[in-house]
Amino acid sequence: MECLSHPALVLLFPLTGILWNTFFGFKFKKYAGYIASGMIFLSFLISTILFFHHSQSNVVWTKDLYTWIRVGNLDISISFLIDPLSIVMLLVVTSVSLVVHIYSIGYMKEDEGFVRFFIYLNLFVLSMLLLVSANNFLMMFIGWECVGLCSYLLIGFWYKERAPVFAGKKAFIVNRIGDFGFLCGIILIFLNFGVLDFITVSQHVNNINPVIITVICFLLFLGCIGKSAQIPLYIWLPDAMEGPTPVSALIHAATMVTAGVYLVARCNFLFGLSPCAMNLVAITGVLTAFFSATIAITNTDMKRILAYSTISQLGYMFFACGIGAYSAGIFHLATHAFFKGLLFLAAGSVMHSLSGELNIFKMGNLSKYTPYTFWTFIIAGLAISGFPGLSGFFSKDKILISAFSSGKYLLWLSGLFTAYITAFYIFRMIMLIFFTTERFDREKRQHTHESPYIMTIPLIILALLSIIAGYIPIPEYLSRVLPEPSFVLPSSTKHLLELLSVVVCLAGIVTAFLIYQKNIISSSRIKQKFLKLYTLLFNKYYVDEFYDELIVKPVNRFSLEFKNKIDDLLIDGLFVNGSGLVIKLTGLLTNLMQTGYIRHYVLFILAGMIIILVIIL
Amino acid sequence: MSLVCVFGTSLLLFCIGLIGILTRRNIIIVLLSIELMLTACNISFVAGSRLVSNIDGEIIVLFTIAISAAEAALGLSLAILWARLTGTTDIDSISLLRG
Amino acid sequence: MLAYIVFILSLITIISSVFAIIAKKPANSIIFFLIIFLGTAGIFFVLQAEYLGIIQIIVYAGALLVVFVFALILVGDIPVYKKNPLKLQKTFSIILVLIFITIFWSQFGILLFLPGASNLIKFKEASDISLIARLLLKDYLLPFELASVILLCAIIGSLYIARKEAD
Repeated sequence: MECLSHPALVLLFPLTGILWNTFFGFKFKKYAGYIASGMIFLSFLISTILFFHHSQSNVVWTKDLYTWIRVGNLDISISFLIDPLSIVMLLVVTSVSLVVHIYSIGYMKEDEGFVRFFIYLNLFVLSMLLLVSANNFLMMFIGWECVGLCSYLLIGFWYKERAPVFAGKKAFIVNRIGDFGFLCGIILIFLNFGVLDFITVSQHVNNINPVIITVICFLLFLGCIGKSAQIPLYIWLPDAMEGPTPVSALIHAATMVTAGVYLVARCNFLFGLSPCAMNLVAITGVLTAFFSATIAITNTDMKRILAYSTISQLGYMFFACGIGAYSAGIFHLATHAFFKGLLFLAAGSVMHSLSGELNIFKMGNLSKYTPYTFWTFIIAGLAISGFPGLSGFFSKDKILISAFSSGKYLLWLSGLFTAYITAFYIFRMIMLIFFTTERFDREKRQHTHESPYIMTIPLIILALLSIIAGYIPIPEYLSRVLPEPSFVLPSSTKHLLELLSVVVCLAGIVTAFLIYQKNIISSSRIKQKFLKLYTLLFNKYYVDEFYDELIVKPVNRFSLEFKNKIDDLLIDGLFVNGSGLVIKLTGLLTNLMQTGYIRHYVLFILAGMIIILVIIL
Repeated sequence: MSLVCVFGTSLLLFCIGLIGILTRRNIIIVLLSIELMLTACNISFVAGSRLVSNIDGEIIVLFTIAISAAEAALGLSLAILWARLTGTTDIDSISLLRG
Repeated sequence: MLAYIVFILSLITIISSVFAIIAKKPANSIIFFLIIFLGTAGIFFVLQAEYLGIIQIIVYAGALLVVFVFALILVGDIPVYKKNPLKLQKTFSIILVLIFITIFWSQFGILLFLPGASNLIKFKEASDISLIARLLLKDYLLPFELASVILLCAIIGSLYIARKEAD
């Protein structure tokens, strides 16, 4: 057991999977998925061993592999940090990845890029594990960039179509803005601290000017905004749904997008010293949670609703971190990974049954055809709405209670209202997909079927995890390393707040039920009444159009001008063709000297010799 | 006086050989001029060896003689080949390699 | 006495080299070259490099000139056909060579008027031949062998180049 608890082993297995599938995957095409999943399973096992081994011994481990860079003051080693935070992340990442890998074997079965898909997926897991187990900022940044790359590759997985390629490009470019901030933050940390590993930085954090700390926090948070799709850089995540559904489940719901939350939690020693940055985190989180939830109300695309829901839940996590309840944020991250991954996988199963249909108004009454998908979807929906007894209830409630106890009542109220909207739009979707009348085409009805076991079993596993994850004392485990807010509420207030959450959740569910199932309140009449609001929400607050006008078009225009003026004239004209022309002219001139007569050459040699003599004497 | 005279002879012979290469057009005369220049160098080496009382200069002369013999043999065979091919020993006729 | 001998030998060598260069016929040139090489050998004898003097006579005056004569016989005394394409070559060559002599003598001639440089020719008791032999076969053994390899290559190469194509 001792030798198996090395964090490098966790990374080694996905790497093996990548190498195997890269070199031999095309030969053993049938087994590519099983090998990839097996490697992730081994990774998961090692993570579990790490957990048990670690929980008995001291709180923080670091394992140095070797020194990577040593230049001047810069001393970067490849080393791993194992503490409760990274262990929770390792377990979440490997377990969700394992389930998604197994699911993908069924989902991607007929795709021609089957092997390529698993190579990318393993690469993603490797990078994500690197990100969460890194001991210094630079290694984390490598993982951070690699997951961005994998996200780009997997969004644009079906590269022969136009939309996925553009979506991949958009995700990559928008992420670049955030990554730039993150990199600037790392450089600033190095300039002020002289080191980059987390432990040393956290020890020296009190010697640094608080203004600089605030600037560093802002820059790091810019990275989080980009990666975790917060306002104002959230626009890439809905488009990222062009990728295969398992990718949306794994990368764009459960793991990669939560890297920002992990970063804030990991840097709690920095954020904790800057109330200004904390407020920014909390306010950004709440705003994002609220606005993306409202967008989700009117959307008709199943996967996009889930994407906006993801953005909204990520907002919750940042909200939690912003009020200092890091463990609640990470707890919500873990439970969210399970139920949101489940929602996506179930949505993929629905798509599978209806041969790729995404519009929820063209579904209906699917509970008859796909029982497993239906029940797991219901469990996940209840979990995300915060239904008592399911995991989402515990984590969301913890966040809301922390918000209330910290005294930020306005933020707490918006959080509560967002919870209501969340319950509403999720059950709107469930009603439209699984209940009401069948609205899909007649010929599709004959093909409508439940997915194969290799897809439904992962759904069931995730459903179980979504139920039990709330009972695992993750916050208590995390509180060994993460600071806890010091406010204490009387237990009667606590119970009152819990009751309030339950009421809000049920109210959302009931509203959706009344509008879409019973038609007691007509949805079209509400639409008529609030037409302006509806169009605003339906067009997602016109944010995409706004960015298009403000940034994309001017950049394009400027690039065109730049191409015409600078590139064509200066680069091509002067440098490329110009240097060629100079050489050509010199060639023409020196050509005159090359007469072919040996006597001439001897004369030139003599003249050259005389010139050299004159120069040196 | 006498070594000055020897060095002067060497320089003059070298320059006369140089003029021979530069002005004469018969390949054989050009090759002979090269031999003349090498001989001038040899004289300089021997005189220099006497000037600094070091025998190494004479050894170098021996190597120079060996190299010049090799060079003359190859040059002459090339000249014969060229004359056989084109019927002329004019060095200006070998001017094909021009830009 | 020795100074005069050197002076006379130098004079003969220079005058015959001038004639060798301006001679119209290559055969005349070769005769003048014989005089040059013999004169050079004489200078070597006066400078007490007897071994080199002998080599000079054997290799240059003997072997090399004979090779040249054979080449001349093989090629035949072919006149130059074309008009001289390089009109200014002669003028420029003489000007440049004169500049070269001036620079060279003005810069390096001074070194020879250092004290002790003028009357260095004096008789020694023993000949240098044994010394040369020892140097050649000990210190300069590798260059010596390489020189022999080069000569071998030159022989094979010139034979290959000058042979008639087999029909």
